[in-house]
Amino acid sequence: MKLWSIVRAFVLTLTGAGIIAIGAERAVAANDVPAPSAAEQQTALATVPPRARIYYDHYWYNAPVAPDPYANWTPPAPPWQFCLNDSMLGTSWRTDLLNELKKLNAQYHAAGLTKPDVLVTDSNNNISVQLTQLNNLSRQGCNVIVSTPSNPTGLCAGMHDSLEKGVINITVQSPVNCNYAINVGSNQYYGGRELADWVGKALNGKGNVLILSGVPGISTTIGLEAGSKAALAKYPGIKIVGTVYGFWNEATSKTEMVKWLATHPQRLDGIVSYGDMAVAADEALAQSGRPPVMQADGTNECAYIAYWHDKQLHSLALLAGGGSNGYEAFLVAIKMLFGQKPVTNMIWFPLPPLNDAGAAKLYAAWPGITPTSTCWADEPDHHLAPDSYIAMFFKGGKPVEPKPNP
Amino acid sequence: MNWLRHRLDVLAPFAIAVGLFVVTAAVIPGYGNLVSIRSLLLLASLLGIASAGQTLTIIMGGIDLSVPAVIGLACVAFAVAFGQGVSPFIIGPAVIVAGIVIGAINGLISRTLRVSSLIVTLATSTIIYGAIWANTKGDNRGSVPDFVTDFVSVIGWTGPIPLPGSVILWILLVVVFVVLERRSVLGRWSYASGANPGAAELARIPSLLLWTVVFAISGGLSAVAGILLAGFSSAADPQVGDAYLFTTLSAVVIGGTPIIGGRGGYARTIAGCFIITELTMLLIGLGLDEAAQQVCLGILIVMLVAIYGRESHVRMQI
Repeated sequence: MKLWSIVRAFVLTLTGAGIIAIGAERAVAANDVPAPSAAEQQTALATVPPRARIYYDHYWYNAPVAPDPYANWTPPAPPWQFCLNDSMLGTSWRTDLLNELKKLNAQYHAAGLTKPDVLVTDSNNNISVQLTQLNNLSRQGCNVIVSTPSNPTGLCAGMHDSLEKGVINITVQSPVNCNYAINVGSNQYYGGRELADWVGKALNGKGNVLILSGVPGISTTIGLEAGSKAALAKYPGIKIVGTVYGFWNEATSKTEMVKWLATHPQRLDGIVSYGDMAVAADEALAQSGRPPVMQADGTNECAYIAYWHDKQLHSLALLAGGGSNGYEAFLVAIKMLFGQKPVTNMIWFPLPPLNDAGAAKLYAAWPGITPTSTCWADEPDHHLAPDSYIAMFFKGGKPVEPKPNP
Repeated sequence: MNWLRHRLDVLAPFAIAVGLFVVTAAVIPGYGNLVSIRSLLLLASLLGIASAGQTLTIIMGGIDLSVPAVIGLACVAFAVAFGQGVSPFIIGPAVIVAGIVIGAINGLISRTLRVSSLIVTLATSTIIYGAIWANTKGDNRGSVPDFVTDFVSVIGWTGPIPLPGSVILWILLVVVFVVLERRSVLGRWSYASGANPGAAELARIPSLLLWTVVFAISGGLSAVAGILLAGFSSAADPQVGDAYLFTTLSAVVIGGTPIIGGRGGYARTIAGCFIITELTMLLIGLGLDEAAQQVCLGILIVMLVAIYGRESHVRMQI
């Protein structure tokens, strides 16, 4: 082994690594989603009820807003078959979603309006498997298919076919980029902005803030980060000192936070995190000998609600549990089955914020939860938006009877 | 000259690990402080414990792709059972025994059916993930005892020693493994089997027993890593081990144990664990984005292996 060849390999590889790394960083920076023209934005938002438009800020980070794809569709006669086309049922969030759909389906089955069981598929995050399962559900006679797409375009072909067969396609959590489904959920950009704005205000506009994000490069994360960065940019005294990717997983979040804290000795004043990772971040801070910081988190997982209570934090979270999302998705589907027409393909609501008092109330409503609990502390009524808000997105049809009881 | 070259190959990973620490400490202010060093040791120890069984299977000529799945199973089973009131002193050993049994089955099937361990362990992983879901239906509600959390805390102490328990456990494991590899029959059989499986069988080495025991060790240690990760993350997560597939294999190979086996050892994997952990910390410390970190890490791994990992297989040197 010649020393010179080692040195040469070292220098060449380091240079190459540097060039590729800079390229990769620029590619990530270029990941910013270009805004549609003002006219295009106006056309897209024309379908959205005026009162709801503020929640569609920078909607293009998620998916295109378009008119109702079910404009020429007529509802089938009951009993209706509800189905869940899940990308991965391996989390308590997804289990809550399924249980809520089953519970509501049972209510309508008792009234003779739905079939007894919810048909369920699980693709283990494999989008081609999920597409095949969607096609199978459509063939099996599902009238409503609620999907949690693991990819914004991968299900489009199947949704196109099922829409043509008269099946209602509903997405929750992640919208699809094609106009063959009604997407029910919240605008990630708006949510990221709300969380960061709270941190900015809580710090009186001054300090170092870290963003603890989910999976890099996916539309949800890009939207959340863009919203947070836009909100923090309003505070000249706030400096974003880094972005750590925790992949919505406690172990990864804590590992990455420990590494970040070990290599960034500067003062940290605030954290904006997007769910499932807040307790891990706080534990990493405590174990690194750092004082607590102002933190806003994107979800109402039980662990954070319990941690919030135990440490008497001053914080903000957004309610976003699987059960509550399941209720809103079911409500939209049942309205359509009663002949009500949605005005747009994107039914978005602002996620309800949870302040200190709200968190204390929720903690009391969920006895026995601890910072290691993996459940989602939904509000007892399982609403993410008032029914009257969802009603703005519909016209015509018959009133839903009986009303769904979450 | 050959002797010098061999020494260089052995020492290079350790020299790089030390060099990386010095460079990072020079570049990133505060990296040399006690908390940062303890963070480094803790993260390296978690990787080291997860890599121990992998090292032995690779030396023997196998590979264990079920490490992440066994870690996930152990994490979920431990946290869920403890959350339901089962004593950690019952569920802990039970989970480790389950890991040992899964590993033994991996080795047994690979050797009996003469199927590559890569395929067998991949299939086992799928079965394990399916079994976790079938049992929990995604409802992984659980909790972790405080002493396990303290065991993997950056600021944890072990008696009077200012190091968390997992670092001490790792040190003990290193001693046991080095003795096992160099002084035991099992160790010698493993190297012989990895160097030339055919010749090893002709030399009457009981390959079925060897593969069963080595994979059982790997399964058991993966289960230990799973329990520790349950404590580290304070949660029951079946995917908690996912990051440990790439990193355990990288730690073994970067340490200087060739992927085709027959050479190397766990002592080298220690260097590999430090290099992987230090490299990621350096890249994070330099403020590189996630994408840039991944690119740099991949390139640096290829570079390191190119420098000292190109030695021909043992049987080609005879």
